[in-house]
Amino acid sequence: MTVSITPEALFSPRADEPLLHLPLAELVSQTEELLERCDLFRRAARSSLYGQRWRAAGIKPELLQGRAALRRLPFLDGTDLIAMAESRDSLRKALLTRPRIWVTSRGTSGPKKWLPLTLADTAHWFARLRRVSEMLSVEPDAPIPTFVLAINEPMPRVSNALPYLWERADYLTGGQRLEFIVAAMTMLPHNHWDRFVVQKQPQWLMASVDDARRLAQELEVKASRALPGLRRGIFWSQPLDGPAGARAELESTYGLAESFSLYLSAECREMYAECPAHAGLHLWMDGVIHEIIPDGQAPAGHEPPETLFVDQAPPGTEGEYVITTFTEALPLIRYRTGDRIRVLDTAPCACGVTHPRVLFTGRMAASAA
Amino acid sequence: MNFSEAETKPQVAASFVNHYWEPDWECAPLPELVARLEARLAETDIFVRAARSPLYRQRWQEAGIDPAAIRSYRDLQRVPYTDAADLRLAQERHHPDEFVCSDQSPRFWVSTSGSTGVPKWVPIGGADLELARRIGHRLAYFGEKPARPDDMALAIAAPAPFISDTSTWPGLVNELRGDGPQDIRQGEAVICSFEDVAEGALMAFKRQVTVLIAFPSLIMRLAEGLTENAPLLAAQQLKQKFTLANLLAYLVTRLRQIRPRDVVKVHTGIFAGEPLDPYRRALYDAWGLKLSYNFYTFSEYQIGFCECRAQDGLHVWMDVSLPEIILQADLEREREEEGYVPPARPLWEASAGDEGELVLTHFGDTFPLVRWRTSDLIRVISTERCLCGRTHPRVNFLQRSDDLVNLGVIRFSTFTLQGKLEAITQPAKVARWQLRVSRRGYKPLLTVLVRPASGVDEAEMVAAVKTALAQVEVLRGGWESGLVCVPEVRIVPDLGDRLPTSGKFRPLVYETEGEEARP
Repeated sequence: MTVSITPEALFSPRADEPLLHLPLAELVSQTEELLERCDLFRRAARSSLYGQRWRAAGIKPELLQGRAALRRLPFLDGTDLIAMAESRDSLRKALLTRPRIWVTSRGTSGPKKWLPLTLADTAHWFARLRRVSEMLSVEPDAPIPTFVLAINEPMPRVSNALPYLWERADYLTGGQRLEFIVAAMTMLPHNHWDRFVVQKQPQWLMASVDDARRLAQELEVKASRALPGLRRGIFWSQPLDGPAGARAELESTYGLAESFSLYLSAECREMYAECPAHAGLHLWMDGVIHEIIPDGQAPAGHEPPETLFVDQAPPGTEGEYVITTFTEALPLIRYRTGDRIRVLDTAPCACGVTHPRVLFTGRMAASAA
Repeated sequence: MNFSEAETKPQVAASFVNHYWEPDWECAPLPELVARLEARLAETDIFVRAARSPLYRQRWQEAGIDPAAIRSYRDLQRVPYTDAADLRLAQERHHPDEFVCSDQSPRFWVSTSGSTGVPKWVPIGGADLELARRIGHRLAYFGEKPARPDDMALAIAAPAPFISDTSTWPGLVNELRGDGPQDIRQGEAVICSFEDVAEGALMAFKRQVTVLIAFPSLIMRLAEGLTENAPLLAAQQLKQKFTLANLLAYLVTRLRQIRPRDVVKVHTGIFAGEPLDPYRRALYDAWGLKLSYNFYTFSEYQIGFCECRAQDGLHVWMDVSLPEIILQADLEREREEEGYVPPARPLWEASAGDEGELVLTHFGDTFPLVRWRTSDLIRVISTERCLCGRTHPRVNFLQRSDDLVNLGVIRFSTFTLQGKLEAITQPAKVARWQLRVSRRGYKPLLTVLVRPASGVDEAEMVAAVKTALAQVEVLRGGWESGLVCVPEVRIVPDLGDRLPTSGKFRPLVYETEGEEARP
């Protein structure tokens, strides 16, 4: 059993609004209940990704209880996922159930990782996207329809889904405010979709930071002059804030009034976004367990590093982001994402959402990842 | 294993007969479908809305068409044709929003490939998506066998902004809505773009692919690649891990050619983007397919036609579109006689064996097509009830009727090549040329016949033309990737015998099977 979402909840506008405002302690308590209900540890132990490794560490999954037990479990990282996809056998043994579709990571920091999604996993992801789209839809002066340029990547990369699920979330939950052109950067030299985009003048731009930069270079005139109607940008794959943050650059390049940082990951099957308060990205506490390996611990090869649950980490804590997911086809247990986060606050946000806020500040150094 | 006709023409299995998504529509007698079409024409406001679009407005006004007065097929026959060139021209002059004929704003804009020049942009609305989805569900019951949960599909799609990129995620959301056939459970899929075919195919092989959904030429290229690289891959695997199985695999690749059918058990292929017939035999041979289906759609139309289990033509939906055919003889006359407007006849009144250009009118909400010349040549298979029970006319798609050089995945305009050939000055200018498209085996072969403006060293002239061909980027990409044969160039003293009686130049000729480019 995994997290299940009813179609009613999936397609009702703001169906999970109450969840967004629950006190943090209650969210943690719900996670504990979910762990028990989903029997996550015993289920995961059936996967070759965990079974042997856990046995070798003397772990009996049937004795594991509550999220505190996670700290006894070994970490998983990208190399494990790459090894899993090496052969027919390793894939078969790792999967808990037959997936519906496969997606990959971007592959910018090494070989692509293949991740399976069942229909239930897709539902979870759609629900997340709907939540994010609703959170970012509050723009009182936006024209109707708002024209969105979404630069995605071709299948099977995970960002391919973003505009299509966003559009469906808008359409099926009654918003119907958005009109999309979806385009891949790889097609730009072949069919010059930028010319059409200039004609249509989008109000929103959704893109990875890299693609947004590339598009600006490809446009015949300065981006803010070519696309003067752009008001809002939603960017992923690189931080918008911090020393290497791209926010100021992209806002200036495109003349944006506002930009939002989005965290999108094939491995996590999650999507976190900044709310309109712009005080960090909300890490959704329902359906994911978030840990952080604080900086300054022993290098790899020694004792496994200690972690903190993000909801218990003091503001300012920095380190590697570790997740545990409840994915049906292949849950990731203590997966070291290789992404750095800084905990901003675990107190409720000005927007009213109680889920902790972090900044994604880039990739871990190769040695640490 | 020898290929036999029986392999490509499976008998209709009793187990899956009479399953339809919308039997009242799919199997209604043809006269009834025509009557419903007439009734729909009498009540639709589609023509009034279409008349707002710069695609139709001016030309209809010039032709004296009152869109509100189009109430029957007879009325519709007075409406001028529209084609891709009209759309391209209109889009050069008008803002995209002017082409939206619905009161609802579009959900997506998709682009055509731009093979014949500037890409065209098509708005798709919510109602259009819903219609395409509903008709798409019919296809779930088209096959000899329904999809199974243990199927594993490899699908190759074009990246956005092409329409095929829009299908995956909205399709999954539809499943989440509980929409679609409830008695068929879909299996697993690896869906990848052209750019990721190698990686996607490798993953699909590891997951024991059983269904292929792609351009047939791409799938054949994939098969060739596997055969070429199997010895190398087996050697690498053995080097990485010395096991008895890996050693055996390596030895086998030294002794015989490995084909995909030796590695995976693919039972079904669904093929789109180009006619399937030239590839069918090779696909069965290389992949061990048991069933294959041809699928047809295009960006402006979005609704799919498909072969059913009887494999005797693709069903053209009469309930969501009004299909017509311009017969070959009239197309010939149009080419030869300036200003001649060829008549179209309703597809439901065509005879088996008729060949000509498909013309479609459909009831799209956002971007309705009205007497749209598809530039696709069809052969009418039958207007009788099909073995599968469906009554919608069946056709096969042959090739293009316009200036598009269609080599399957590889497409470009004759005007693109014309520019390159006209730029040749050494060793001589090109006085006259003609492109002939044929096949070597299943693979498209382009032959360029050239008559130089003066007597020259033939080898030098051939080299100059080949250099010009290589400047057509998409064509060069096609032969470098092995999707099409390397083009051939022939110097001919005269092209006069290749002209029709009118003497009008025809730059592009598709050779029928057995006919070869004469030296």
